[in-house]
Amino acid sequence: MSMNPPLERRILAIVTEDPALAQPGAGAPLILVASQQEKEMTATLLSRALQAAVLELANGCLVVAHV
Amino acid sequence: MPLSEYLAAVTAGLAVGTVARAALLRSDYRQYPAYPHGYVNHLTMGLIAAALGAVSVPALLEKQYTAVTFLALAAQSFRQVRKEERDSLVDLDTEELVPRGGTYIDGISKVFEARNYLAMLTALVCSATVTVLGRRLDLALAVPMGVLAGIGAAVLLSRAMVGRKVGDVCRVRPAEFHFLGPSLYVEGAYMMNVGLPASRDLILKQGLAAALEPNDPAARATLANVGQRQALVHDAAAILGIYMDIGEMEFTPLARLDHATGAVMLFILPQERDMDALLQALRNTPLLESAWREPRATRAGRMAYRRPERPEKGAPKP
Repeated sequence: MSMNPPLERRILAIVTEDPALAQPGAGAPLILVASQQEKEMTATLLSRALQAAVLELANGCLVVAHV
Repeated sequence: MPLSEYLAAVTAGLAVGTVARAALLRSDYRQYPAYPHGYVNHLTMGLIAAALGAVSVPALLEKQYTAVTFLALAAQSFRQVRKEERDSLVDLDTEELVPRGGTYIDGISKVFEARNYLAMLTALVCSATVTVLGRRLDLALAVPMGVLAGIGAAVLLSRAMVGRKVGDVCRVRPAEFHFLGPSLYVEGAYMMNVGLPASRDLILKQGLAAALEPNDPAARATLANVGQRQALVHDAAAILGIYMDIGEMEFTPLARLDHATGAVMLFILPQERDMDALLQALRNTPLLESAWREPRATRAGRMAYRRPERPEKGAPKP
């Protein structure tokens, strides 16, 4: 990964336990999981498969993104 | 002038120029060129450069002014060498876990070009000395003196080509790092968001951080260059190893700027967790000539860096 990333940065997936966040028009695949452990496992697998980073938002969502 | 004297001048120049190029063809931690084909390519170019330099003086003395044209053609070929080196390194860079970056590659390719000029000039000095002295002295004396002059020229030129290191322009010291929620900070400078708790644990266990505090405004402007910072993380990763594989983006080494002080905060997960080795690797990273800035060379720059309200080092961020 370069220190100077391209301008195009993409959110590849959002992993969350909160069904309230599953709104239409999110702009990225939203994956609902049952537990914290499953959330971390899913985000890890996605990040390794997609060569992406996992970011944590203040609301607990894990965002899988190319940064 | 007899042919034997020209032959002696050309042979001595060719030999000294080629040896000078070979002496500079060394592999270091960058491991480039570290394979037989690379050596052969660069030695052959050095031989051609030395031949052109050695032949040019006798040719000019014989009023063969087309020799100048050949020197111009050689310069064009050497520029082509630089372009090919750059293209090759750019291609290889896509397969590096921690790339060199364009600025570093530009510097490496310029060095390859310059070393051919060095071979040519060394051969020219040697050949000219043998030719001039050969008219007054015996060849048995003129040739060794020409060789010595060539060696002297090679030493002077290679010393002039030695660049500065990062450690010459800034203080490099260990730095503390911590997490604030998912955010990784090195002494108050935000580095990155690490979402996975397992990755945060590994970073806390295996990570190392260093701070590079610039000595003056020129160093500050240079360290702010993205290419220079990429060179720092590349060299640190190349020397200490890197605790990451494809797709593990959260383990990528980073160098971020502390806006208040201009210091660069570097974070890395090395294979060999040795702080002294990290500091040494950072100090020895080349200061890239394409990244070097000198803001005080202008009146506006001198005015800007005289302002008393600049924040002190270590001052808290607003």
